[in-house]
Amino acid sequence: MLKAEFKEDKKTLTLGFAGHIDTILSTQYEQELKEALAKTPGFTEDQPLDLDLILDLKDVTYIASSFIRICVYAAKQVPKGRFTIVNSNPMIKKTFKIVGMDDLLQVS
Amino acid sequence: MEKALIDQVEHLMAKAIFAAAEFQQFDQKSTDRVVESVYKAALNARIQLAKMAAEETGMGVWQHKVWKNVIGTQLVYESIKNEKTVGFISDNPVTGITEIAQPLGPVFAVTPVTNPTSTAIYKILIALKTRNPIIVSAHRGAAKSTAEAVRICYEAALEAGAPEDCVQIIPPGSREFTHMVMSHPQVALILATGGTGLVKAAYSSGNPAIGVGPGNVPVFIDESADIEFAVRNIISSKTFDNGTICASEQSIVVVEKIEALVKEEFEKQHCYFLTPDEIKKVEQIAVTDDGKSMNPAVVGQSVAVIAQKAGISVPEGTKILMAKLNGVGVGYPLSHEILAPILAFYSAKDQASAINLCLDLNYLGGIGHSAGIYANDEHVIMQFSQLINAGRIVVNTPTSQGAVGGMFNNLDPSLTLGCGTGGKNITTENITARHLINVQRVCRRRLNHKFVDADEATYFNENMTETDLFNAYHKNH
Repeated sequence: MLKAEFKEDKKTLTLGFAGHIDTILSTQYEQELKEALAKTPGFTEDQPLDLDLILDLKDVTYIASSFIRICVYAAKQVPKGRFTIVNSNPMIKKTFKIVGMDDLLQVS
Repeated sequence: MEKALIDQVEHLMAKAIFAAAEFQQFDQKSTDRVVESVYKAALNARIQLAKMAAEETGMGVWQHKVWKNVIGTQLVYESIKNEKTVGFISDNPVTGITEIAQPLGPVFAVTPVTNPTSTAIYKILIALKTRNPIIVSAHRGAAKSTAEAVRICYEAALEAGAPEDCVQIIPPGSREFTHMVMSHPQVALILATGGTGLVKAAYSSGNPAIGVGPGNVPVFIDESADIEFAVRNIISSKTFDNGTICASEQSIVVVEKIEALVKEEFEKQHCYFLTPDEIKKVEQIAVTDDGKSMNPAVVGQSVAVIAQKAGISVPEGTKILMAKLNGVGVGYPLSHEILAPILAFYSAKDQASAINLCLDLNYLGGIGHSAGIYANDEHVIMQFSQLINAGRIVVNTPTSQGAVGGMFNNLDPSLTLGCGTGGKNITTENITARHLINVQRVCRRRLNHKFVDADEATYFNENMTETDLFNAYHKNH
């Protein structure tokens, strides 16, 4: 279950993920992520959200390739430079590294 | 270059690299589950795929292609299933070295028309066992059957939880597409099984490649051999899938002393010795105009079809067309490799001349591949083996099945046979899962006391010779 925390004052939306994100869980998360973005104040279909979007992977042990695609989709929903992935374990960090997305998605 | 083509290649490679990223997170158990699932599905499809391949290519014998599929699935699986291919694979507390297996990344696998489905399955199994996504490029003559083998393997892999796109196939027939993938910077390794041109292209791509060299397998029947046994084994090998395996016998060499006996045995076992006129007719259809390359029209064809094409009449039930030749190379087209039931036959005055003839045949386009010997004299076996330039010298064994491994000996079962530097390859081994990992070595501190204890000043003294340094290095050890 996705944990979404929106801080209006700091203009940040933090989405927390957990578990072994295989293709099935990834599909579920995709839906939840889209819903969380749609609920965020200021959301429109065609404009990037004016906020910092943070994906927190603290309790994530595995990611399917489809989850990386979701991250790429999420990054496109905010202006360039305002998307980050935090708390990824080294194995997850390496996964982003292999696809060459760790810089683009600002993975730490 | 056409943008659509570039986009297509980039899309394919992006999918492969995403699959690679996911796959490297697998542990041994999850990896083995995927491999087992693919093996079972492919083995269940062995007959259907064999029939498809035989029908589509018009080559070989479908029943023999079933056996090839069994080799590519069951024998390969049995040989790799207990291998450690993920994470820590060995630990030696004495040397302080721990080995860790890492995947390579996307593997680009080119498969041949002669063994299409079996090679595709085998390559998929060894790639998945090592957590590498694989992209298969089928020979255009076997595109449908290879695609079906790939589909079956991919679906089984997904069912067992493998990453999406871990097995892909490229559209058939586009040479440009193949070359673009081959040289793509994100391809980790090319597994090239096919003709010389293809293998050369793979090696020239800028990416690491494991290829195979061409064969021209000489087989020496020594006078110490069991002749009936030797002839029976040779026939079972040369007729296997109508001779499409590149390790199949190409020439038989005997000493004069036993020539008549061997000839009689071949005839007794339904092989036919062509007359000089008939040899000329067979040459015309078996070899292309340059006199050096086999004609694809005879590859994997039966004796009946070849005889009809050549316009000769042979006894019904003939298994192999035998051509007694007096020379090797120019002027003797049948001394070259021909993947069909046609065998060159030579007689030499003695053992030394016979081995010399085998060397001539070996160096006629088959360096580093395979050779065979039938003998019960260990001395001659070793003499032959030390001189011949072949990755596999199979003894008292059919060369097709013997070189492929796993049936008649303990070679790794494989459908890609390394031919060493003679065949412009990096290895003479039968290619298997262990060739598809990067082995990382964790090297713990273990001092070389000979080096540490040696007097440093000795090395900086110009008057000290190599003998002094030798003594300094070994002093007190």
